[in-house]
Amino acid sequence: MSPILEVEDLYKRFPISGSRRYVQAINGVTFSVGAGETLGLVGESGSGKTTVGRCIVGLTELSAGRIRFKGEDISKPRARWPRHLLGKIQLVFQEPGESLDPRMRIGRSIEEPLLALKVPPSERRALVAEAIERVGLSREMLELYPAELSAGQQQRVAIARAMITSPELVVLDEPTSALDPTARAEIIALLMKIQAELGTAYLFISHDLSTVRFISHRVAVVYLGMIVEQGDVGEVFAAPRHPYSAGLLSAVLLPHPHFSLESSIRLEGEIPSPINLPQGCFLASRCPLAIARCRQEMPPPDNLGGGHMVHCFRHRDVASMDHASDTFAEFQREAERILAGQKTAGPVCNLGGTSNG
Amino acid sequence: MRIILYIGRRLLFIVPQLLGIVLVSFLLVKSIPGDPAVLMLGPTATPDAIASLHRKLGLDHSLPVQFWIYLKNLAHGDLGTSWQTTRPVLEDLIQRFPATLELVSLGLLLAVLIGVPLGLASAFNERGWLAGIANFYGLGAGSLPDFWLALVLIFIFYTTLQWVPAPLGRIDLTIVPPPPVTGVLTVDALLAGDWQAFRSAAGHLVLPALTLGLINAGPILKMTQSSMEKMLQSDFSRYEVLCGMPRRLVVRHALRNALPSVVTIISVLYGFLIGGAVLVEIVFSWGGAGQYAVQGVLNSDFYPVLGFVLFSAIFSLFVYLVVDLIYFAIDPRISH
Repeated sequence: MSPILEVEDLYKRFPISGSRRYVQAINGVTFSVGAGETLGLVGESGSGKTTVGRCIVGLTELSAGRIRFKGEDISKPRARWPRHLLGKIQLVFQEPGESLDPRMRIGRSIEEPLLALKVPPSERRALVAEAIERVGLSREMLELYPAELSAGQQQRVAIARAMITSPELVVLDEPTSALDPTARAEIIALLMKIQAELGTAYLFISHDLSTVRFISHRVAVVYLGMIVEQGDVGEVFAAPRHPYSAGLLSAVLLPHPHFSLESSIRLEGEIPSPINLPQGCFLASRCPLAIARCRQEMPPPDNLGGGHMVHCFRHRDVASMDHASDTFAEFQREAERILAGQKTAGPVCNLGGTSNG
Repeated sequence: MRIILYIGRRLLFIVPQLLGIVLVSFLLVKSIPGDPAVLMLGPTATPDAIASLHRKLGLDHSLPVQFWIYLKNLAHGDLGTSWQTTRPVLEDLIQRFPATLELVSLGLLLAVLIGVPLGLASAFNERGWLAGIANFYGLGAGSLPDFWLALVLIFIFYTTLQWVPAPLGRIDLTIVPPPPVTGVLTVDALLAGDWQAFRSAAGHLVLPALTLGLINAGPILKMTQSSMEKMLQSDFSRYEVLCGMPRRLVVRHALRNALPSVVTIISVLYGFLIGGAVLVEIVFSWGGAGQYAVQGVLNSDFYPVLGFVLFSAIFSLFVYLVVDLIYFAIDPRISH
C-alpha cells in the first residue's frame, strides 16, 4: 500500500501563559497511513494522540516537522492548503453532541462540508440523502435537531457528514469512547463497512485497545508525545517489544473469564510531566527493565522488519519475558465461535474476518 | 397556534406568581421597624392620638387581616394612599414609573450598544487591542459604583463643559411639560410636537442614561465575550473551520448559539434596574419610581413600597415572557 499520509518528525509545543515554559505535547512523531488502511493510534489520555490528529486536519499548527498528504505538503495552516485538498481529509470528534451545531437541522449539518466546496444545491440534496442512508439512518431524521437523537445516532450523523466529501483519509478522534457498548459496536461495524465499500483510510485514535485491535491494520503506541512502538496490529498485540506496549496491553480487561492478559512487565508510578521531559527514554522512571543507558540517551528506532519499529534498548529482553500469544486474537476467535454456534451468522463474525486479513 | 397556547398558559401563571410576590413583600415591609403613625403625628403626639390614628389606618388589625384588606382593595384597583404625598399610590406610580422606565430602557439600550460589539470584537481576537480594552473595561465597569460615575460625569459635562443641563429632574423648570400621554417625557413632547420640551427632556436624559449604560455594559460585555468564545472554540465551529467554511458563516452560527445567554443577562438586568437604578435617580433628582419606593421604606410609608414591588414584578414578568418568546424565535429546539 502506498502511503497517502506521511507524518515526519512532528513536534508540537504549547506555550504556558505567564511563563516561558512549554507543554511538549508531541516530541518527534513519524508514521504513515496507506490508502484504504486503518492505523490505530493508542496511548493514555494526555499522551498527545489527539494533538497529532488535530495537526493533521490543520486545526493545530505544528511547531516542527512535516506532514504530506498524497505527496503534497500540508504542514502549513489550513487556510493556505491547496483548494483541491478541501474535503479530502475529514475528522470525526469524540463527543458527537458537541460536534453538531445544536441549532442546525441534521440535514443542514451533513450538507455543510459541501457548501465550502461550492457544490450546486440539487447535487447536494442527492448526496445528503445518500450519506444518511449510508450510515443507516432514515431520511426523516434530516429534519430533526441533534438533541432529538441518541449519542449513537449523532455519531452516525457525524460520520455521514465526514463521508459526504468522499474523503481519502478520516481522522477518527476517539469516535466511540462517549458511547455505550452496543452503540460502540455498531459504530465500529459501520466504519468497517464504509471502509470496505469506499476504501477510505482511517487514522483511528483511541485508548480502547480491544477496539483498536478489532478495527486497525497497523497500530502505533504513543507515550508522552512519542511513538514508542508501531507495526502490524496482530504482531504488536501478540508480541509487544516495548515495555510500555506490554504494560498497556496487560491492563486491558477482556469480557471473558478464560482470557487474562497477565504480563511479567508491570509499569509503576505516574506518567512524567510533559513540561519537564526526562532525559533519556521517557519511560525509564517507570520501567522495570531500565538500565543506566536508558536514563542517559533516547533509544533510536529499531527496525524489526515488516514495518515493526520499536524505541527500546532492551526490546529483545521484552520479547523473551512476555509470552508471545495473542490473547486478543484468541478472544476474537472464541467470540466468533460462540456467535457462529448460535446460528445467527451476525455481522460481527464477518467483520472479525476482514480485520484479520 | 402553539405560541398562543403558550402565552395563554404563561399569563395564567402570572396571577399566582403575583400573589406570592405580594404576600412576601407585604410580610417583609411590615417587618421593617417603624410606626407611620408616630412619624405622621410628630414627636409631641399623645398615645391616644397615635392609637386613634392606628385604628384609622387599620394598623390595629392582625397581620393576616391587614393582608386580606390590602388584597380586597387591590382587587378594586386601590393600591392604598401614601401618607407622604397624600395621594393614591396608583396615581403616584403612573406618574413616576414611566420616568424610571424611560431612564432604564435607554440606559440598557446604551449598555447593549457598548457591551455586545465590544464583547464580540474581543471574542474574535483574544489577543487584539480591542480584547485588551474589553478586559480592562469589564473590570472597571464591575468595580465602579454607579452614583460615583454619575457624579464624575456631572462634574465633566455639566460643571466643566456645560454641555448638558443641571442634574435636577427630567425637564427644565422654566419649560411647560407636554401633556402626559405615555408618561415618558421625550415621547410625549414628540407627540405634542413640542421641540423645545423634547430638547430639554432629552438633554436631561443624557447623563443618567449614559451612567447606567456605561456601568451595565460590563456584565453584557463579559457574557457576550465568554459565550461567544466558548462557541467559537466548540467542536462544531472547529469543524466548520476545517471544512473551509467562510469565516462569516462560522461566526454567524456561533453567534446564533451564543445569543440566548446574552438575551438572558439583558432581561435580568432590565428587571433588576427598575429598582437598582435608584442611586442614579437620586443623584439626578429624577423623581422616578425607585426613588419613590426608597422614600417609602425610609418613612414607614408601606403602600408606595408595595405598589412599587407590584409594578416592577408585573414589569419583570412581562420582560421574561417577551424573552421566552424571543427564545422561541431564536432557538429551534424549544419550538420544535
